[in-house]
Amino acid sequence: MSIIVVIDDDHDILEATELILQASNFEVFTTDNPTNGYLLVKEKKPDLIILDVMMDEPDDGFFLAQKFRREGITTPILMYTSISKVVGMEYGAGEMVPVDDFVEKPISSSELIKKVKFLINK
Amino acid sequence: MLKLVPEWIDTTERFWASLKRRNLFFIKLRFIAIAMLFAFNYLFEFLIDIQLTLFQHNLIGIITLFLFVYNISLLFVRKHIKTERGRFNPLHLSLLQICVDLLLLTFLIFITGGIESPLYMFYIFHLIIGSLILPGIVIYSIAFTVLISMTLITSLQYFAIFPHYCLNGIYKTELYNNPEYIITTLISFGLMTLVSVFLTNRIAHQLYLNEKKLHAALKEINNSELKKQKYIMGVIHEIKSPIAATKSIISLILDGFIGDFSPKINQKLNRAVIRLSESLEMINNILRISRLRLLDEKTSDDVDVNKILDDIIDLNSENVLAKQLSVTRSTSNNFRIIKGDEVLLKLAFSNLIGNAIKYSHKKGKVKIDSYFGENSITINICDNGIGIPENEIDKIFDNYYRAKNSNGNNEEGAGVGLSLVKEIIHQHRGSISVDSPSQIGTNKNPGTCFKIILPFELKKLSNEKNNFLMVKGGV
Repeated sequence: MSIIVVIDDDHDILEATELILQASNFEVFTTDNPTNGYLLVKEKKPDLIILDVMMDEPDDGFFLAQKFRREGITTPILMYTSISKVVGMEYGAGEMVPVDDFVEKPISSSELIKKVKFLINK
Repeated sequence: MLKLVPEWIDTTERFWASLKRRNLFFIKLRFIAIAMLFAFNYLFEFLIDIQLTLFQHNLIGIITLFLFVYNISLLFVRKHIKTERGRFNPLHLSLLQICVDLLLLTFLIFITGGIESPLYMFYIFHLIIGSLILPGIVIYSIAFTVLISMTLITSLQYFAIFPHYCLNGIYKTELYNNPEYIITTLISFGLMTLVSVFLTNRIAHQLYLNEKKLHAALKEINNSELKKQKYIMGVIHEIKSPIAATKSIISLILDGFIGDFSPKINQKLNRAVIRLSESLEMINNILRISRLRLLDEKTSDDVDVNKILDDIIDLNSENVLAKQLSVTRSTSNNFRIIKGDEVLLKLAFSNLIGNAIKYSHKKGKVKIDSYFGENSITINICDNGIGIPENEIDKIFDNYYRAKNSNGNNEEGAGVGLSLVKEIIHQHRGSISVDSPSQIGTNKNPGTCFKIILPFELKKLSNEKNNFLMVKGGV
């Protein structure tokens, strides 16, 4: 069973994500802050990390993603964003934003499952 | 290379652009001077009683011809001059023009009577222009050189060392050998020259400093606007997060992740999702407006307007079917790709087409045309729906405006749509106008027709994109 770590400060989003992913037979671990998220990733060695871009600080998600990459953690990262697409900022994977894909909030269960499966099987 | 640009001047792009404009202005002015010189040489004698000798005629003719060729060359040369402090720059070109002009003017004065020549007045005119752009030391040096040359010509002609070429008919007696006249004229000319240079130079310096202050203030205003928009984006993000979370949870229930529920609950939850989606759409529109104001100009993509229109019609097919609308679409053959911001144009057109569908009655008509002209594309989006009351048509592009008759249509909205559409079209240097009743309307169903004209090319593209990247934190 693939392991997924979800890091988001919004508990409702955490719960919704957990429910959707568990229904698709993934083992899900959640946390609401970047510090615990970092430790959880180190401990569980997940197959996928889901990360909200904006937690306590506006760039928390970006910094955490960069930290993982700097430490050689190559686990795919799916990033939750809230207003990026609306304002025309569509990021691509790269040095500045070292993530593999984005999911726009509110979360659509079908889109989330599709992207998660794709990244895990990559 | 002589450093003409003082250190206290900011050599911005604006500074060089204004110098280039000034150089072009000098060149244009010189064409007028050439025309006047030509008239003076060949036409004046028919109007007033001044007779030029053949020698004067020929020399003035040669100078006129030289000036014409020289001016045409300047027109080409000015385009290739680099704008750098240490190299030959537009300010050097201005100085060169002033020096050559003064040299030719001195020669003209010499052959048209020296101290008797009315042309020496033009020295002052040249020195005033020079004072506006050249540093004090340079322009004072030029002013003193002019005074010395004038004194030398006058003195040498007085002592008959240089020949005197008088302008026949202008004075009844000879003045170049009248010491009282020479001394008073030279003193008043000297004073007039120096005072003009001093005053103009001072005023120009003051003007420059004031302009600099004004620009600093303007920059500050722009920065505070940027901060304000960033703040708005932050606040809106905070408002959007709980709504997005709520919608995610309800969708979870609707998708059956929690368990079964009755059709009545299903219906109510679906309604809740619709209302939440409307709130999110309003929030997104406000964010888009903030983005528009944050960015002075848009990105420049290759945009296929026809494809955008067709895609939007496809996206709305469900609503079209539900209302049994007849949608007609036509376009001209001379298809073109235009320059613009694809995301924003999509947003504008989907707003207009969405409205046409939303405010149409069942079995109504929607007509979407796009025609390519010489420099622009014209798009007409017409319907025969509820229309816009005549007394409200002027207000429809205002922020948060909703027509009084739109409420009965059971449609929700913040009224942000059309003001956003207008802003997008204007940002693309286009225009938007509205007609109600529309060309396909009837008395009962007046309908609305929007006409949008977009130029093929955006004239100026932003170099302020980086400002926007700074607000990544608001994501």
